[in-house]
Amino acid sequence: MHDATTLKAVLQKVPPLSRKSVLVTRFVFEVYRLSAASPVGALVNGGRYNSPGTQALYTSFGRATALAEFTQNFGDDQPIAVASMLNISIFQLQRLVDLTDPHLTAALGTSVDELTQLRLPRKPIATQYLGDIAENLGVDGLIVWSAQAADQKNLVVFPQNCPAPTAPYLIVTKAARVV
Amino acid sequence: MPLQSIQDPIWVHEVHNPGSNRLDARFVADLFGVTLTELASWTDISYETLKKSPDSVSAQRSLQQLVHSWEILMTVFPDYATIRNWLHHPIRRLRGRTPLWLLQQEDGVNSFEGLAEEFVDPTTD
Repeated sequence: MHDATTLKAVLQKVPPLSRKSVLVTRFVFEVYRLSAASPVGALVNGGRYNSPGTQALYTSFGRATALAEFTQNFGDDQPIAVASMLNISIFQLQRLVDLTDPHLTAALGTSVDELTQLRLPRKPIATQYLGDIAENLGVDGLIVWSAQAADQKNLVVFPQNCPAPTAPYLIVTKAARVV
Repeated sequence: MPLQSIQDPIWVHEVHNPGSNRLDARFVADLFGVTLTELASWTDISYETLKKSPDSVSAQRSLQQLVHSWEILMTVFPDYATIRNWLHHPIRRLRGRTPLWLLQQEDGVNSFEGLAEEFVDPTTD
């Protein structure tokens, strides 16, 4: 991946995308349902595309992808005896950047492998700097490859960059027990 | 509620040294189902130090992180045995490595606490 100056220059030139009524999904443990639509978890420890201290809400376009993300800490033969909730949020995004675009990926000097490489908790990783630069440029969302489900895409939202009328809101549609 | 009716009153001593009221490495090792030698290898504290002073002041930070992690895991796992089983189980999040592997890495206790805190928001990767 290129240095921060180059990354910033490339991201500044990318024509931002806009989307209305994007349907995305995320799963949470029911015990943490009160913060289901909040970026608080990623704020504290950081995530793949944000450093600690930067708000970011990680969602998936596909429900199967969201479930793969949710179950990443469990083996397939391990029961998850905790109820979870399916949350569908609708966003309106005005400055969206598609990091799955191969032309943009090449311009950033990175690759799918680098973007989805193993990330150890609380260890800095290049994708965090990339996400932070985008967030500082006012980008309100990143379309990214899932690191858990091959060829599937996630949406990382920076709520602080979304205009107030289009802030994400939560629609709880279903409560399920994953066993 | 009369004190006598509180169940499991020794719970607070589960990981604390009754004499010093500090966290005790022996009890934390028991909690995780590992030996004191193994627990020492996760920290900057030598086995000899922990053996001599399992409630050492210098060990408290690491022990606090481990106990804090355990408390988070208790919110999503049904019992201690399941948590101990999970510690040894390969997970996709770590590309098929186990949570115990993470503990054995440099600054592993800190990373492990981060992994546990990801259960609050398990989709940030």
